[in-house]
Amino acid sequence: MEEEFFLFDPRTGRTAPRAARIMAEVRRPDRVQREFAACQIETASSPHTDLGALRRELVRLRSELSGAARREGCRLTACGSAPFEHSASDAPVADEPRYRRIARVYGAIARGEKCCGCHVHVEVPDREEAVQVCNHLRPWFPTLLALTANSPFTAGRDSGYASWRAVAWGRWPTVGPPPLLGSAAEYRATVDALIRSGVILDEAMVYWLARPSHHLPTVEVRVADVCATAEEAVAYAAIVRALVATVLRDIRSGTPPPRPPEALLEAAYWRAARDGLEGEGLDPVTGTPVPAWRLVDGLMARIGPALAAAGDLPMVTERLFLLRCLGSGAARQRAVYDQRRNLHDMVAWMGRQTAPGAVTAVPLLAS
Amino acid sequence: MGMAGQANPITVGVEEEFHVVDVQTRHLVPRSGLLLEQLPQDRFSPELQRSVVEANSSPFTRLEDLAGELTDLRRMAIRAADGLGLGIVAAGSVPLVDLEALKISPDPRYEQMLDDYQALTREQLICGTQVHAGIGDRELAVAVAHRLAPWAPVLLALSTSSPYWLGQDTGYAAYRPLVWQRWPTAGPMPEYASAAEYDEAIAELIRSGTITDPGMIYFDIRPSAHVPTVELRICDSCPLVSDIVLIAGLFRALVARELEAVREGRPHDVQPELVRAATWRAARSGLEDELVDPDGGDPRPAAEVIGRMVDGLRPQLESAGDWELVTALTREALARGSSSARQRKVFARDGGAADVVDLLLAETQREDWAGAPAGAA
Repeated sequence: MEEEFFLFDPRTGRTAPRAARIMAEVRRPDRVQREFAACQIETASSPHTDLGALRRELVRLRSELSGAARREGCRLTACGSAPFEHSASDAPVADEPRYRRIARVYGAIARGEKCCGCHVHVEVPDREEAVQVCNHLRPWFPTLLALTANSPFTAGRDSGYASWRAVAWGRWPTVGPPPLLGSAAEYRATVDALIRSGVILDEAMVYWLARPSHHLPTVEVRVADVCATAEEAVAYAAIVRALVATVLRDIRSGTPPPRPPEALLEAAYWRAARDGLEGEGLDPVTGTPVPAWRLVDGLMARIGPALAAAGDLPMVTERLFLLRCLGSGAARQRAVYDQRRNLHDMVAWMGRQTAPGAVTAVPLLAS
Repeated sequence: MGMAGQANPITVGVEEEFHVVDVQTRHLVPRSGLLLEQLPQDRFSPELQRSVVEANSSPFTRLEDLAGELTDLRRMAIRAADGLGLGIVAAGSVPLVDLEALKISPDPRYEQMLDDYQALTREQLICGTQVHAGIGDRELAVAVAHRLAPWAPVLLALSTSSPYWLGQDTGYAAYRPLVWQRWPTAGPMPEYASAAEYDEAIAELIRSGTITDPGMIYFDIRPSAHVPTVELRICDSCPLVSDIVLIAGLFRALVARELEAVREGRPHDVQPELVRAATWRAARSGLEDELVDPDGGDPRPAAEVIGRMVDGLRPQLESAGDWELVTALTREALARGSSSARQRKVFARDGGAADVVDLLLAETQREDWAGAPAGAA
């Protein structure tokens, strides 16, 4: 699992470009990576089959990094958008040749809001199957986004979206559901055509919501905002793993991929970005508007057996119950903001929530 | 020149959006309401932002007549604006913007849009030019709108005039398409088997609450929601009328060619992800660098891609009687460079956004559209 985080200045609530200094002092440089902006930092866990072990590693990585950030006078924070950034913020880019090149080529897109997401890698060693898995995942992207929406604030105010990250990130070329592809060869040809066109600089810039990884034997699901807590991240990983296992069974039994109408798939994704878990969702296959939670229930019905087989069902059920009671990451940000109408306080609260041991429920239940 | 070609060329009409600026401060101002009171309602209408007015031309078969009417409409708007201390700018964006001073038009539909789309609506300070090509048959309009998707980025490149957005140089020749992209239902139109299937898809989007009416289908090229046409929506507003005329001429030739292809049952292969990539490329570099050639997918210098497109359309351009005019306008457009490049040149020379606004005001006012003398013979 890869998790991207912001570094915020606790005095101003704004982004702090200190990633390089934090990198210099972490003890596990193999697990911590720079990101595009100097105010972002990324962790990459080892692969796990036991998600209890994944949780322990995520907690440890968040904790270590959070400590290092504090020593550098800033706060590690898990949220999809930086509340005080806007579409022309121009946060400094990490000092690295590839990132400098991206900043030059993509101009104002690269200067706009920075985004923190979380990427789940699920092992699918057969490349043909990995391409098929991406085809089968397409109708589920809106639900996965709604589950993890954690970026309502931008430009110092509520954007009106549960995931502003999904909207801001959409400006980059290739962001969106992957095209339906018939084979690994067709995947290769499409990626080559994109690179040849000069529009993306390398394969790592294929920003489809799911893709066969270009460097690992995995399918990489890239749809989510970074989750507010390690516990939510692990539950999300369990859901993605079970979904991949479920569609793999379909693929092996010869079931063709579902073909939701393209316009509806995009509409459903937009609706998920706007409403998150708390509002309406859109079933991309039927086009029917339904409460977002109904889509989650549909997903759970679909992947329940795979979750049970992996031993993850109790953990995921409990986490979804808590999300239902306490609200999504986005809803909790809004609730904390509403308590005192102070965005600066909300940013500080997010930093506490990110660090392990933070009890997300207390301030909300007390309100 | 004259009506040497086929008896009934496809008609073309244009909807142009203009920014309303204060001629003293050169800032965008929310005063379209006042301006519209003095303009005929059947030709001018409000837009989402109160800093924007839209002009609608009639459909024409001769490009020269279209140019004449666009010039007349602009003259009318400029005269009305003049008395109010205002000016109008035909460009994708303007460099001087004060977000807080601008308010959404007081119209229930737009209020609803603000409610539904939030931050997306507030930043929608952009103007486009829509070209309508008359296709009475809706089945054909649906088929052609999808099949033409790969050519839209090239037409966008010819119109690029929105390098500045919210007061900054974006690095793009046209930032407007990137602002658009954030709306649901923007981008290349998917394939629909029939007009009924298309209409059903729109009805579904409305039922689902994603959009409130068919006018909110923002595909780069779409069957029009209100007239029997296929509509090119991807282009920035163009300061010079001659660029609009060029785009209109090329668009109707593309439509004519694709209509033949549909009738003959010729296959097509539209890959939306590559069209989106080509759109990004065109938005980034306009006429000043490479474009993705729709024919083959390779990057080539813009002049070469456009030259190949014009050559490929020669039979349709000749048949419509547009060949001489379109080739002449193409040469001029390529020699002049994009509006974005001209704006940046003025900015770099005089160091001010006010000078960019003055350039755009002056170009919008020009009445010597390039083709007039040749066409009048």
